[in-house]
Amino acid sequence: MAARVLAAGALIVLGSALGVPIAIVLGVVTLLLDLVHVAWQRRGLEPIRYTRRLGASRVPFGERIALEIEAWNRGSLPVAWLRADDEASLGVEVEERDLEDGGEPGTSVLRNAWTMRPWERVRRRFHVLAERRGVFTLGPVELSAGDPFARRVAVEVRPALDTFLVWPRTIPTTELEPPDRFGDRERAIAALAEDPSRFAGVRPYAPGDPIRRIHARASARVGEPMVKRFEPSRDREVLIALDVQAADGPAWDAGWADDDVESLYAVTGSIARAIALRRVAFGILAAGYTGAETRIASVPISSAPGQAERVLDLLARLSSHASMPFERLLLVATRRVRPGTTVLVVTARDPRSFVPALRRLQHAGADVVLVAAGAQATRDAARAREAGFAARRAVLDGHWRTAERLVLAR
Amino acid sequence: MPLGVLVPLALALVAEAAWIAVLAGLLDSFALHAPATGIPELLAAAVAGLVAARALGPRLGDGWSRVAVVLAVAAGAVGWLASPEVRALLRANGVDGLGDAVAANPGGWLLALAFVRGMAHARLPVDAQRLGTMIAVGVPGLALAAIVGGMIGDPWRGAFLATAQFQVLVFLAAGIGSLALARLTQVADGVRIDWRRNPAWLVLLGALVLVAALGAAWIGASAGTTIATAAGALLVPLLVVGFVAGFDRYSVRLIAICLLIVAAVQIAVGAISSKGGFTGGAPALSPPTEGNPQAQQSIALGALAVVLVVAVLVVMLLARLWLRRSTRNAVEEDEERTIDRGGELDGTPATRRRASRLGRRSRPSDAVEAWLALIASLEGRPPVERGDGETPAEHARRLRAAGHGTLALDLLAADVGLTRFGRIELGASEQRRAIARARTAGQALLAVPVDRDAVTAGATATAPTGPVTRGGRKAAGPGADITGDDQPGAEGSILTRIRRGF
Repeated sequence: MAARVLAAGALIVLGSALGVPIAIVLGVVTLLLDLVHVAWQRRGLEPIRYTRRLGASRVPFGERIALEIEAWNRGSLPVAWLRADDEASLGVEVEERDLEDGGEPGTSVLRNAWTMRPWERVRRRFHVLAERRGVFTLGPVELSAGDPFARRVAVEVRPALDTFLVWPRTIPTTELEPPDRFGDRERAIAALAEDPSRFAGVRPYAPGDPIRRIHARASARVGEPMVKRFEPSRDREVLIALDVQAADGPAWDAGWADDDVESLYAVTGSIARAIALRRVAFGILAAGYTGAETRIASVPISSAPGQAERVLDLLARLSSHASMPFERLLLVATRRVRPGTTVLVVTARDPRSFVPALRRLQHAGADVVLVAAGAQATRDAARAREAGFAARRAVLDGHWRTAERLVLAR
Repeated sequence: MPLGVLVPLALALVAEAAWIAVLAGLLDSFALHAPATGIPELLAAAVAGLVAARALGPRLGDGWSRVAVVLAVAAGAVGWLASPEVRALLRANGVDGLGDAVAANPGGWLLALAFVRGMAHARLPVDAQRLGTMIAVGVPGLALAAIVGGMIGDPWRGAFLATAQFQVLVFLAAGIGSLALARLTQVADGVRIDWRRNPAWLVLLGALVLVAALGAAWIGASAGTTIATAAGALLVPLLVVGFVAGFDRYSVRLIAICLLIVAAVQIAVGAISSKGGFTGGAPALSPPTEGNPQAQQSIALGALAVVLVVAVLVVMLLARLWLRRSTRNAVEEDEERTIDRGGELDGTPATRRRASRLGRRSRPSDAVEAWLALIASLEGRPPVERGDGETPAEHARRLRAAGHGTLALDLLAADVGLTRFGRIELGASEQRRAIARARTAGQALLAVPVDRDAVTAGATATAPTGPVTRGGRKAAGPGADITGDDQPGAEGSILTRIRRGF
């Protein structure tokens, strides 16, 4: 710009010296344009307020998140143009707009541009598609604006960042066998393991039952002594052990089988949701990366509200490749599970490679149930049964993106 | 063709015609003839080039280049033959008079150039880079042409300069306007910006172009001598200071090149003039204009002013018409545009409205009064207004959670809570601080945009209803007992720490 100003000055002086008004005119106009440019440059993007609002921070697969983008010119002068480039992480898709290529590899940009009157506030509404499981970000935003002659005068990067999770697809599942409750034989006689606030019915009196347990009115109605029953104070817990590796072989050499892994996640998410609906305490353990320092991803067993969401969050964050061999993860599980816990091993691989680890888990007091998913589910379930474990086949009625039903069959 | 594309194109063609007209005038003046080829003829040629390129180019394919050359030459010939003098010479002398005929209207041949330049804009929308190059090259080029033309002897010099000044101003106005509009259509790389939605900018742009053009013309006409005198007086001291201060190599080179060009042009024109080529008395033809060149310049300036004012009015009128059309498009794009002056609602400042209804409010004297005054000023301004049944602390907490909170409001709410509910007397200094906090919080909260949807729906912020534990974990529904930062995998989260076992 300095050269332009210098040239304009030279034109004015030259025109004056030679008596050529046209040169002066050209010089003066060039100078005035640059003066306006400098004045606008100082003003910069100060009067511009830019806001981006995401309708949700987590969304189930296949749904849409409302995205509202608002630009507000809070100045009394018009803005010739304002451009906002919202950086979007890989995989973000906007329904109404194709994203431009971003500055860095693997990034794209949601580009919006407006011309704005004084005090004008513009809101645009988009929908972000959740067509891919994972953690996605929108932002930071690069704002740029033009002077009255539409020359670019200001660029500013505003660091506002919005993150949202896309959960794996969940599909209605056939009724899971209820996790073993303490049955008749295992029902504790001692009150320590019972929850007296959870009345479970009556049963005939047996020698040894406390007298105060006798249900007087029921006994009178039936004509024989009946005692009250209570639910145990703690249900059996379920731990989902997810085998992230979809192909046989060493974990580091498994390669990428994105579709198979996503199918596995869809099965796991569906099972987790079904368990949560039964209000059973459950958790998850997987050998994958989630962005944290640890190589083991887990949600501790809990029956608290929101447990399903937490498990789905973890599945959303989980990488598509394994962080360690599944056998090692099962060893970790052996140390973590309490006796009596049901361990649902969800895998798409031949279970023979980790049968010893499953046995160790069983010896630690856990009930192991293998859920075989993938193309070889029948074979894998049969091999698990041969090894002496309970096994189910997870069968989808189509591709995981379109399937409507997940059947857990023997 | 959409108007958003058509207008910059039209302005670009006018600019092209204007700079070529200056060159045509220069050629005619060198030939000691009055400038015969003006902007209208050249504009017609440029339009013809554009239409031909768009209509014939795709059909003829590779053959188009040859046809284009033929058409351009034909356009030049038409321009040349448009002069009655040329036709008279040809009619009188036949082929023998060809040399004289060519010299009689050399500027007419530039219709060929206009035709070619029109072809350059065949690809739509207009390329802002091409226009930028045209202006970047055109400004020094026209200045050079004017300087060279200024060395021709009178009366041709006066005639040329008067005509060229108008053409230069048209070039600048049309060029800058088309460049601005073209930039606007291309700034977003495919994301359309409809400049018709912003009449305020069009008016600003038009006004700036008008002021720049008229100001430059006025300075050129009246202050030329003054500038020359001042520059002459300051040149040597400035150069000395400049060299002492240290011009960079680029600046020195630029000055040297400018001086060399001027000197070369001066010598060349002087040499040609000394041979009698461009003297006022030499030609057999009569001078084209009579009268004072100064007066002609004033007339040209007046005409220019009228033309520019009319142009601005026309643009404003068209923008108003186009604005109506583009409003419909806005609805289709799920875009909502409002004029929001921040502290005002429905065009009337909220504070002023309240004052007029309740009369002048006395200044608050303690924390509670200050808080009440603040709440009153926030009334009707969702989302910052206080909800029904919200305590001061709840109100402050909600605003903080919504991202509008300020420390001043939190402290003020605490002061009010202590006074109202804790029965604690605040000291005088604390009361003063509370009043100042109310002022600070008010400034911040009044700047929060009003949620117009909530206003139009008659909705106001309300306190949570039903079985809700205020401020507790259950308030936000299932899963609220774990914060966003405590999601599995988040670094430093409780769950991660639990997993790690420490």
